[in-house]
Amino acid sequence: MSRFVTVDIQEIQRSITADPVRIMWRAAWTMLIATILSCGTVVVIGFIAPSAIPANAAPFLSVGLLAIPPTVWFLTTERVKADIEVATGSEYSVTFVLSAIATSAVVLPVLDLVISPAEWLSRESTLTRITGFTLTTAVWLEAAKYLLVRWRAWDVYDEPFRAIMHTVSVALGSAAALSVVQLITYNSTPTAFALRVLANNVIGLIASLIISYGLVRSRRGEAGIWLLPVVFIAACLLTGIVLTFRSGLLNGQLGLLGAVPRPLFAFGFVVAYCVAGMAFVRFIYTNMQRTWALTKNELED
Amino acid sequence: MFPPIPETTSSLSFSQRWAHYVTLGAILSMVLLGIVLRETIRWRLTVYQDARTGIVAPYPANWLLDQSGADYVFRVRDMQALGFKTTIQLSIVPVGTATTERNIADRLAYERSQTLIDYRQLSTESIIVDDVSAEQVTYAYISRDTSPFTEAIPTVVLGTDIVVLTRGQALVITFRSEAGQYQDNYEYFRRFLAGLEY
Amino acid sequence: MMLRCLLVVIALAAGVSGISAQTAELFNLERIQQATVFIAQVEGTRLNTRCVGSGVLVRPDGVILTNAHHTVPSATCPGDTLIISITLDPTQPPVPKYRAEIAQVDAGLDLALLRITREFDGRSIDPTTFPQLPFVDQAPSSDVQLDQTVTFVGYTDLGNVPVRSIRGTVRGFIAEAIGGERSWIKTSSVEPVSGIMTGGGVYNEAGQLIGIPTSAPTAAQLADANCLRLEDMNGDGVVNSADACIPIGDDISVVRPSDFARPLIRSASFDLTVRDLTQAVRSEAAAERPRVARVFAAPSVVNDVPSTVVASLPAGTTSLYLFFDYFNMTPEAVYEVRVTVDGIPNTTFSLPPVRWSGGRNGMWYIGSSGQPYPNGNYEYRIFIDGVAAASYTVTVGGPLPTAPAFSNVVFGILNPDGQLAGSGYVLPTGSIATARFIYSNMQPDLPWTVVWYYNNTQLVQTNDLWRLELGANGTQSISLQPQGGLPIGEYRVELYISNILSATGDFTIAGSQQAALPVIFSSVEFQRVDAAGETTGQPGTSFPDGAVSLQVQFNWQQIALGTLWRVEWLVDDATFFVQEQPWLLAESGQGYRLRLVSRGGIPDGTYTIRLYVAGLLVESRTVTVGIGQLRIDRFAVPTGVTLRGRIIDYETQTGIEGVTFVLISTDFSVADFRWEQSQIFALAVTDRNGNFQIDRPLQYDAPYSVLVSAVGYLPLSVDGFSLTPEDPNPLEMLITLVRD
Repeated sequence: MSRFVTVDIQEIQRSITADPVRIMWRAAWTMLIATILSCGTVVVIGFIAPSAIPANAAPFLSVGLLAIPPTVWFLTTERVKADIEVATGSEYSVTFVLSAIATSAVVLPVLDLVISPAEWLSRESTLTRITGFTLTTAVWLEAAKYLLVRWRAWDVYDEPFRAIMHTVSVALGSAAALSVVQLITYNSTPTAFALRVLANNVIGLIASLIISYGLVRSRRGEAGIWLLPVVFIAACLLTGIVLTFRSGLLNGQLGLLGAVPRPLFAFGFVVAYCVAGMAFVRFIYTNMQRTWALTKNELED
Repeated sequence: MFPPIPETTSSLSFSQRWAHYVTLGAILSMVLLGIVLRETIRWRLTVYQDARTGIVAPYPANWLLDQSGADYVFRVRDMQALGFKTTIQLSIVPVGTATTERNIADRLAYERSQTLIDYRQLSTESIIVDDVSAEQVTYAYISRDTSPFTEAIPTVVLGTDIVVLTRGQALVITFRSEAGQYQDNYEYFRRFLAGLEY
Repeated sequence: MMLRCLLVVIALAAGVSGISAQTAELFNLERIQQATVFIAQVEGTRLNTRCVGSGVLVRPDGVILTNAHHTVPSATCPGDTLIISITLDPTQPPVPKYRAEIAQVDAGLDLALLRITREFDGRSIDPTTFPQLPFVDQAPSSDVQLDQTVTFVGYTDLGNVPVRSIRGTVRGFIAEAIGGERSWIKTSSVEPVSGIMTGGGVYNEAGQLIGIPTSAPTAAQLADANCLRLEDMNGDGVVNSADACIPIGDDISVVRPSDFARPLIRSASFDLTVRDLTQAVRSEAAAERPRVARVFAAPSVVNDVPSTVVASLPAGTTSLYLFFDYFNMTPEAVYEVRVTVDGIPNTTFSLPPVRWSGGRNGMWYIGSSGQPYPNGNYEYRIFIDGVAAASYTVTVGGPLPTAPAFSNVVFGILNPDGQLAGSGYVLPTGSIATARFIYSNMQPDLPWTVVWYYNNTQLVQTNDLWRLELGANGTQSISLQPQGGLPIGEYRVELYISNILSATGDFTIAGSQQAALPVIFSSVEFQRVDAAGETTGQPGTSFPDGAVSLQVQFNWQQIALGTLWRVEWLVDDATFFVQEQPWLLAESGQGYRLRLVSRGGIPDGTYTIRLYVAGLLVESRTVTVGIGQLRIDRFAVPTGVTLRGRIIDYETQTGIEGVTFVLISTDFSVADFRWEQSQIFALAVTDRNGNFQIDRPLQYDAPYSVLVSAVGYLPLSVDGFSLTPEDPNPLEMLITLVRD
């Protein structure tokens, strides 16, 4: 915590010409668009011409897809660092790494070896699946990310742009770990892996940003006892719903000649969720900032 | 643009602290609920009842119930498992006045050695089931898909037979599972035995 | 007008192609190939091959129809184990998979039913896990037409080549005493049909079994090039003439009609066995070398006897039969009839080497009708075990017969009105037997002779001159009334004109007289038998509570030693057991017992026992068991769509082993499915490559439901899974499962 820069933020705010929060959103959107485009390209190619992707290039392509979200994020936020002229430090890089470690070392082993939702949840009803994913996959993933940021970056969560930086970093770290483990475990084709990369990053990011809203409000003393836990539960529930519907859309329909999955359906659903989710998060953040502006004006008045 | 930041303090306010505690509590609760849900679904049971033989047997839900065999009263198999389909089976064998559980167990060994590939009896011991003496035989064999048109890989299977003499007949309770998952799947059999009435 | 004609032509062509397409779809060659097995009869612990042939699965539980000569242990084929090899891939040779045992056999008809009982390694088969094997459907072989296109399916080599199909044509039918006009189907083929195909199948255009190609190797063939030496039988380290060889019959040109196998298949289907509890107390004289005698020709057959005896037939003749007496024949004997016309071999009327299907002694005939006989001198040469036994020459092409002749000899008892009463060839004991015959073109004072025989020994000979008052054409009766009455046994009358045999007839005397008919068997009673083998309860004709086993008991009277008698059992009017044998007991007695057994108890049905003496039905009794009707076997439907496919993982695009493909019966939807076996039509589990195959054919237009479920994957299901004849058969599915 002592590594946080103690500068006069007001000085910074007066010196910069752009809203760092907006820059953060822009960086996040850049990262998401790059992810969507890269994964979407592979999904479409895999759908139209599956044999177009050479087998020996598949591993490299998968690693490339895996690396795009964090790479684009860190490149764009480096630019932000320059704009802000604040050595915000590499602490969010550390957050990224710690999140990846926590996910791969704790969360995934617990989910795969102990909870194993795929073994008992796949044949249940939709409502049970939503409940199951909420109470297993979503809780464990979001809890790890919540505890990490709560421990590592609580103090800086009063500043929205830093909150967003850490939130996105922790979400990308968790998603990267998830994707790496899935790549190694399933040995997926690039098409299937592209869908996983997109889903891991988007679903984890939206949930983390929703939870970060609660953290920011709580850190700034603007929330009571219940906002944060309610937001956390809501984020988990939303994740559970999205996971359930995504797999349902991906699953094929059985006919006389067999069953073929519907990757474009799943891809489209995740993209739509990304757009809607980011818009919602942006909305609540903007609302929060507007409230602050009104309060400030009132104070100045 | 940015509202003034409150004075940084190292201590948390009441609401901040309790918000965190409540969030932790919510996490814990959801984790526990998840475990409860998992256990509920995993160990869901369906009850088999046969008025003719007086058998009431709870078996795992969504296991395939088969009553069509000549050699058993009923058999349930986990058809949704990959690999060998874990099986629980109940048979009734007629006995004479001098027949013991060990006689039945030996008879089963003779018959199984004729039909099961590489049948090997591993252990035979006397046990108590519901305050009744019984004979437990553990064995291993190779299971293979019998269709000649497919290329199935044979599997090593561990099996357990429990022979109980009751009401002038022998009840043979059989459990079979792929050897590598025998311990994990044995819980199904333990719960089956706990709920079995005859 | 032209347009109309064109439209008609187009419509006809479309109809024909539609029919051809439908026929092509009905003829599921792949399923027939999978149902055709290669049978190796092996011997000893080293499993040395002694005989080989083909076979056909006729039931899904592993019942195989084939010939008896290469499966039943005999001097030619002394093996003790039957190895069954199955075609897994129609482009590859068969693969040994099972061992079988003989379930039913009719050595005379050269038919055997095998049942798969063990795995290839000798382990007993667990019936609960035995898969449903592909099997073939049967068509009535009586529907086979001349010039019909047929297909032979079987193996042409000793396990080195895949199963083959050869097109052929029906050239004619051969009649024999045992089976009537269609005892054999004569065929020709586009290429020679190897003798190894014996026991395989011959199919009509709809892919239904109509016959079993048959070629029995003779003893002589054990020494010729057709006998193959492949293995070091004697263990001396070399394969040479000191090693036993595998005999191969001649190329196949005759087919045993499949109707002869129906009783065997029925008994195997219902697992019904008839046990004779009454042992023979006397036996016939020791066998000598088989021989034939008294060979002659007749233009037609009436009640298994020649209508008349001829040495020539007019041009345009369409039926001709060769009669002969046979002695000391056995079912292992191989007989052959070679026919030459003006010295040129004629395969149409010849019978290649086949197993003897008659009794030990008696009169036999072979011939055909309904086919034109070209003019010429027909020389018939009879061979037994490859050795010439007799010959006879008959000329076809002469003028219409105007010579005096006798014909159509029948036997009976004269009633007070002077009418001949009785069955025609089985008479009760008494003092007088009368034969009536037709005479034509007779002239006064023509010498004619009557010779009566009793058990092949001449009894009476009467020489006479034809009386004027009898006229040239009419019927005449002659009687036999020896001193001391007529003893029971076999009788024969021969009628000669100018010392040339003109007509002959055989009859049997047995039983006591009741009106003009014999009473041979009586007091036929059915009784239930319990699990301990003891009769229980009162005799009756209805056992609504079912029966573990069924025993029939009857008395007999006045049957001579050696008289041919036949037992026939039917269930729901379908024959499942036929056994004809010479009578070996005392002439009269009580309590002849036959027991009908079946594993698991006698199936419900209406059972009939019929007793014949010398071909005459003398007694018939019926009993009902249970509801009096057989259960419908829903599994025994061979036609339909073969469903198979592959299940792969979406992530890796590789097959998933162990996934269960469930085909729910038409009565239930996926929502109704409660994971009970009774709701399932069929299920399959994928192998290491993700491949699966449903072992029961699916029916057209039947709305099945499908469920594919595996742990870790999202399930797939559909209702209304229905197939039409336009869908491909076999139907290949590719199912991709998504991980959860």
